[in-house]
Amino acid sequence: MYKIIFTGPVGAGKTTAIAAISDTPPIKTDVAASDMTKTRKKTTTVALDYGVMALESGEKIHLYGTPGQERFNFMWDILRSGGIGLILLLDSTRPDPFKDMCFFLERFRSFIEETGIAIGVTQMDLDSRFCIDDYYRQLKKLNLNPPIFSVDARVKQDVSLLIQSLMYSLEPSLKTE
Amino acid sequence: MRPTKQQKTQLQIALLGMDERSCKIMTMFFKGPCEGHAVVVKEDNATVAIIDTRFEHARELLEQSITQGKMRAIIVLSSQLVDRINHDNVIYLDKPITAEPMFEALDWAKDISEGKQRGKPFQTHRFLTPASAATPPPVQAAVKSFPAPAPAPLPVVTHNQEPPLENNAKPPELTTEKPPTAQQTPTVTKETTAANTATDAPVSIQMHESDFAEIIGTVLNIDLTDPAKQRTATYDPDKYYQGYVQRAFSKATNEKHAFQLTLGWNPLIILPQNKQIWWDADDKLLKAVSDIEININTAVATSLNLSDLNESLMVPEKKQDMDAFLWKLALWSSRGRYPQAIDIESPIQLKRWPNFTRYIITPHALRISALLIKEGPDTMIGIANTLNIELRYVSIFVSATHALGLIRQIPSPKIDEILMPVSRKKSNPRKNGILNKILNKLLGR
Repeated sequence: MYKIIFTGPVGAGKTTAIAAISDTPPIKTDVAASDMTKTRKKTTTVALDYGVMALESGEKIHLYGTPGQERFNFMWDILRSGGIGLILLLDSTRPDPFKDMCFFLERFRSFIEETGIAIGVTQMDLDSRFCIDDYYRQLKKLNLNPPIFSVDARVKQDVSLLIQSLMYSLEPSLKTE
Repeated sequence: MRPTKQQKTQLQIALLGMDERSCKIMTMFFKGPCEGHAVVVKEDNATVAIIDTRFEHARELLEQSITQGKMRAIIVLSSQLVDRINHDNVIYLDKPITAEPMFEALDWAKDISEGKQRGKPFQTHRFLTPASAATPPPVQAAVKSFPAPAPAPLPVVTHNQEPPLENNAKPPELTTEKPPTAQQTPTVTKETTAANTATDAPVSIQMHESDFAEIIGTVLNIDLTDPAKQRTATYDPDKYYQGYVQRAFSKATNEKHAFQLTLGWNPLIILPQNKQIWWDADDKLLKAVSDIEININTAVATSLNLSDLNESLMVPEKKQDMDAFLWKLALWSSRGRYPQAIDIESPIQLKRWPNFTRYIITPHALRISALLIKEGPDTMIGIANTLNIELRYVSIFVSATHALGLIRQIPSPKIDEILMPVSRKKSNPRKNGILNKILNKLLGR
């Protein structure tokens, strides 16, 4: 069973990104936010999001979105087993997106080492504090150099490019038919 | 209809040969910054004419107006430094049109139209050097042969313009004169406000090999589908618009100051605070001008005071990300060639992945990026061989990444700053099969 995991903080666009790329209507488990999350968005994912990419061969790629809240940590361990790679989405309007990035990179460190990662930064048009180069500078401190793009999670092409870059990061010699 | 008292004191101006959009802009300018001292009227009622040489038949209209003698003064808006008509009642305004010279020209026209004796407020050939006067700028002529750009309403600014770049400078430096100290402080608020009105970021274009000729184009006299030609096909970005834009970007970024770059076509305004540019033209024109080799230095870099920018004319949809603009400019300048500064035999290091979601993605660009990041530096030939692709796809990728400063060439023994690869474990063939299927799915193949 092949999985691509979407993770990131609350409001980064995980649910939206899965919806953009999934071939089936995604199963969402958003509910009205009742804790500190509600200051950032009206609903939040309390369990997980799920979508499917149906391949021509009949195989399915399962797209899982982790819950954004830290109190659902236990879900992450379940989700990341058997994954192809990780898509980390960051929200540039959050108070400290670099801290968010470091948190998730650390949380998924072993998974990233075994597979790969691509990072998408959302809402960059709303907050010009940081540019992509700033994120790279932070990643360099961690000795990482993954693909990192500014993305609009609603745009299929943006999400597609994130996944494509993840695939090529895993194996650059891949050649499409 | 009898003119009102106010109309009697207003300068009656006819806009000859201009399109509706430009007429509206000029009308707004007269109502706004000119505070109604000038008004647009029909040609028959006008005493002063304004002619923009951008438009068709501008030259004929000018000659006709002079011959007829109905207009007491004629203001000509032009970016051409040569082939100007020397006539007492004609004054040329150099593009980009800025507020102060326009005020001066209107003031002069008003005096002339009222029969007062008055010299012209400034030399119309003030930026013309003897060397450049001898030869018309080839750029302007070349642009004319391409589809006409949308007429450009220019943001109104105050400025201090510089002479053209030195002919013998290589690479020519963009030297500019800063505005007076009192006006130097960048008006960050103004620029930020403008950035906030920008439209959604454009979605990237991902090209297939079969799209290359259509989207990127071809190089005259070089068949880049011939592998032998690909190896020797270089170009010098400094000789193209790309080089001028790169230097202007660098200057604007280093000095944290807005600049306007004018080079015979629609001016480019650089807003470094938000890494944006403003250009009143479409990609069709950019593609056309990117391929023109610029033989003489006609670039004018103008230092801008953001507080003087007329925001109402800075339509948000004309704003673009600086890097995305330079990326596509480099693609269209390269057209499958690589920069002269690159040694085809030396390894190339890619510092980081380009921000592909905002760029035109040439064939195999993602694969080349992944290879260089994962496996470390390699020569252009090595990359092409490893990925089994034509060299021109590597060349054009190198051109764009080089323009953005994303690659560097270092002698092999000094490759010691290579970042650890993201993925340290090779995936197995079975897994590669599924990765390929995912890619085919995403690419619709």
